[in-house]
Amino acid sequence: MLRRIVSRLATGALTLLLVTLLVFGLIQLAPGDPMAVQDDGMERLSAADRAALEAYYGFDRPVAVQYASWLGRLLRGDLGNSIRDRRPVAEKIGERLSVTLSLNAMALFLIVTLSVPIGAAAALNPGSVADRWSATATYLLYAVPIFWAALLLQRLFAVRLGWLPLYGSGGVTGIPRVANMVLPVICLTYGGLAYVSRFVRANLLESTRFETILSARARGMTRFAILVRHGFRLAAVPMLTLAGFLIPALFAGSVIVETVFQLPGLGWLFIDAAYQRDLPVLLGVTLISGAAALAGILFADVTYALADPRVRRG
Amino acid sequence: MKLAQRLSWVLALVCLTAFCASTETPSNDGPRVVRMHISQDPASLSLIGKTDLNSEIFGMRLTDALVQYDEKLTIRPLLAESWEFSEADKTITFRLRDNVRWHDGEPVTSADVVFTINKLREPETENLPWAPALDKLVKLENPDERTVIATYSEIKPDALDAWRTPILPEHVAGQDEDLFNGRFVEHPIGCGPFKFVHYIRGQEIVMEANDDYWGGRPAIDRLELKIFADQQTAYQAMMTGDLHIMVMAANLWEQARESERAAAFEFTSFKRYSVYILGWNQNNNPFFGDPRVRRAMVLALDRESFIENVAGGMAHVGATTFPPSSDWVAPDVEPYGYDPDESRRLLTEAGWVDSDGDGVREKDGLRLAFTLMVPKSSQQLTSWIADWEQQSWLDIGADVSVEQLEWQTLRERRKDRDFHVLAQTLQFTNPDMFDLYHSTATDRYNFWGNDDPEIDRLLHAVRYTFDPDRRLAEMHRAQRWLHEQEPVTAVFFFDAPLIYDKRLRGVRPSPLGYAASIHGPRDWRWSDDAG
Repeated sequence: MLRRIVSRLATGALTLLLVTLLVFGLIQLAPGDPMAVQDDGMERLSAADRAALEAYYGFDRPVAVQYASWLGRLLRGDLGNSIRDRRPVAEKIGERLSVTLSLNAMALFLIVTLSVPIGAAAALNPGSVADRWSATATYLLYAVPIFWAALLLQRLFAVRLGWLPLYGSGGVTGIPRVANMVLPVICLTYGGLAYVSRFVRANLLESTRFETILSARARGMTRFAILVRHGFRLAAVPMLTLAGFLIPALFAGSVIVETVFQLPGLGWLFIDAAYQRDLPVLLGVTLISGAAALAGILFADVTYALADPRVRRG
Repeated sequence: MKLAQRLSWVLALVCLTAFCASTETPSNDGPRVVRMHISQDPASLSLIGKTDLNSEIFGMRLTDALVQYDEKLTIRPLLAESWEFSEADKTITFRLRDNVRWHDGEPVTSADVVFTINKLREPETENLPWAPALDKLVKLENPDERTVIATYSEIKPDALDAWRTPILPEHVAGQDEDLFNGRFVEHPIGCGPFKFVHYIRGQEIVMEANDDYWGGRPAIDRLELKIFADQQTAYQAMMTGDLHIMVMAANLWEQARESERAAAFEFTSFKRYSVYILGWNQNNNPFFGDPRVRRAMVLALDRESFIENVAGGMAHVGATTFPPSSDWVAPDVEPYGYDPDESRRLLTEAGWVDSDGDGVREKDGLRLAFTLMVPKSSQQLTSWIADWEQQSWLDIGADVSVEQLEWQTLRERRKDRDFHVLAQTLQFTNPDMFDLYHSTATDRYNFWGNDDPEIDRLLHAVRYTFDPDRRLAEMHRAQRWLHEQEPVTAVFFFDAPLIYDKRLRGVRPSPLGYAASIHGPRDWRWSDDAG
């Protein structure tokens, strides 16, 4: 078991490394550089000043050397400084982490707690009206673009009714307030419902086909009781995996949600850094979100192994 | 059932907390607050480091410069009560105002000015608005506490523009080893009409009135710069009263005008010195070396009707790149009107004739087929203009394809002179158009390869003539010549749609923005009589 975790960690680290290398390479290929972005095409920077700045940031060195030096600093625990405002990347990520984490944790929690009953209800009577309606409804939601839903929700709840704040995290400390998170969390949640509830339904149906379930039926248990006592136990394992895989998808969604709702989180930081060609910040956020995604998958993997002896041995 | 029950409890609880937490409403009695829009976090609160538009807006409130523009972009005294040019010695001598104090009570002296300018000119400070314009500065002295003498290697009347840089307190900012991460950026202090209170990144910068401001305490108590990257969200914030003033995209401005809250707002627009140009590449193509072809292209555009029907009236036609609403414009230089017949005649005269009847003109076996390069923009208007130009030029026998490029890509293509016609917007703060047209400015903004001894002479005169009347006469001459040669077409000068709370008084926009002049928030006040 330990060996399994160690090998997973090693591949995880390798994956992260490759991802940062990819981001590094893509930024080299993208037109423009941070100085050009700041100049906004007005050509105010003289050739001499430009050369001085390139040397200051180390852009005059070969790309491989630049990457190696970033890697070297990383090993010493230094993510470098942002090019946009020269503040330490770690500090910039730190002050925005809580928003993204709470946003994603709430959304993940809601997706799972809502999808399980929806999926279970559908699995109870496959092909029934309830099954078909829940499928249609969740798929329709899945098709609604986040920015559009955000706009409608803002108009209704913040502008017309005035019940919820329109934007911002509401706090001075960086910890977002619950009221400020309601609309963003809804936006991040509804799209995941279709996927997860259908997944729950499929797994429940699959797992209730086993002989144990048949015998349980023979003992006179109702379909509902079987679902709860046996079905969920068997379906829990694949669902854990799915929850792990949801993390990267949620992060991608939170980029849009954070921008529309003006939530100072990692997604917004990432988008800004991309526009500014702020490589150290891009690499830092990639590293953190990549590590979170890999941790999610690792967690799913380990719990899977703990729950299912066959996987552990395999 | 139990699960569903538990779930509904959780949901109810979430909703309840949400409602409890959102009962806060803005009150009318408390301090007089104005909340204005900025589009992004300033790059830094250091005022001079990596200064961008938003740090400029913040800096102008926090601290004063020696001089500043008024709403007509005329330079006015601020920290400097007077100044004197010496053409012979190539110097500007500033006399500082007496008895001006920093927000912590220390006096403002000439040493602060010298410190700021020296810091600003370090390459690592990466100051783009002012440092490049100070590159001819060779010596800076402060013989006494209230005098600053700047010596240049070459001096020009617009040299004062760069002295709009905000002045920093040496006794605070000078203590920091790193301008971007020191004590000063954590809590910047200045000598301006507003004091720094706090900054929440991505949300707001809050400032309060400076009771001891030398120019008199502002009428409002608090100024909040609210950061909204998204125009839609900012629009909604206007509707809920979370914002009091902003420049809005034209379509949202129209939408606000038709909304039920419209009565609460003042809708206006202001003329900017911001122009949508077409730059005709005269070098690496066979089309635009001939001024007749360039003029023919302009005559094919029905600009008045486009402004009326598509741009919602929010623009006006330019004759040259000299802004029509400025004092620099030559009254006798009229913009080209819409005259497709004259346009066709000019093309024929220049040798471009449709000999094979396919609707596209040719000359020496070459078709009049070229590419219009435009930047990608979220503004729909940009692509509407491009479509309209394409269609208009087709009508006079030119086959035009439109190429929309991301701004950084476009920049590189422009630098490599890899284009036929380039559309983009430009902004001016002074009448010096040397970099745009002078034959030696190919490493600056003369991407079109304009090379004309007459225009070189005129631009030089405008740049270095101190006598205002003679300078204006040279400007007018330059405009006449530019209008005839048409190296760059000033298609439209855009107006900025402004919306603000009806009760707000004293808003005086300048061509650079509603908070970009010596006026702005320090002159704003609330009036309650306009319900």
